[in-house]
Amino acid sequence: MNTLEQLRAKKMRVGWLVGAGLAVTTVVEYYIAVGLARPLVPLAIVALIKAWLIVVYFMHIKQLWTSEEGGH
Amino acid sequence: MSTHVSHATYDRLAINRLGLWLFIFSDALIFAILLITRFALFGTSRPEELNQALGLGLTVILLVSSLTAYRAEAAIATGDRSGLLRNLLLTIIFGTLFLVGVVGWEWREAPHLGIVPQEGYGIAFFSMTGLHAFHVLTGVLLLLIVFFNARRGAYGPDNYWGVEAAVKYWHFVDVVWVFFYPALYLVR
Repeated sequence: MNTLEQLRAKKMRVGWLVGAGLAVTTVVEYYIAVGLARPLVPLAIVALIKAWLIVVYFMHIKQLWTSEEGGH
Repeated sequence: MSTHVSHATYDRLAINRLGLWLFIFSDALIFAILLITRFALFGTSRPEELNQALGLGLTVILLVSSLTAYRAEAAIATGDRSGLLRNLLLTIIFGTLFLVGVVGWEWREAPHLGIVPQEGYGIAFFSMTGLHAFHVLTGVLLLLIVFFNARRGAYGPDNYWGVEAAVKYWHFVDVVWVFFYPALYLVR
């Protein structure tokens, strides 16, 4: 396996893990809404976790202060 | 000389990214204002009649589209052009499905449930979903442009800023929905 293929496999693995994280948090979010009488704060926390997953792992916000990844 | 060119290329990319993030932050402020207004006007109340299955389905579609968008960028970053095209097309299809779900289904159903754009909760509901749907539409159009450029072979592992920018914008649209979905459909 060459370097590009290894990098692709790593990126795809990260993608699936984050996707799984988003799926789990969405299910948790739904059950919080159904089960709690006042779900505002827990829902806000879950939304922040989901946003953090997307911004950090999908949008690569770290690229703003580092050139570690995506230096095309 | 080559070091100079390399630095210039990196600087351009860094500036492009900074510019895109500045745009995203400024656009996010508009959505934040809408979100604050929704809670200021209606607290945590919402109509019980909202179609929960549709709201959840739309959320799943948009989250899956973010995964395919990520895979499109990862594919071109590692030289996989067919993976780029396949995942871009999937993202465009999911984005279009989301639009059809909001504008073609939810907007037609809501008035029958007493949620109208002119009064009450409908003001927040239609303005929030409307502005978001407009961003989804522009995201789909951007992804279509990138898709056709990619078919012409415009991108490679060393040159894919167009893909990266369109995909980042798409993720931003997804992040907005991450906050709008619970605010519109789940809180009480």
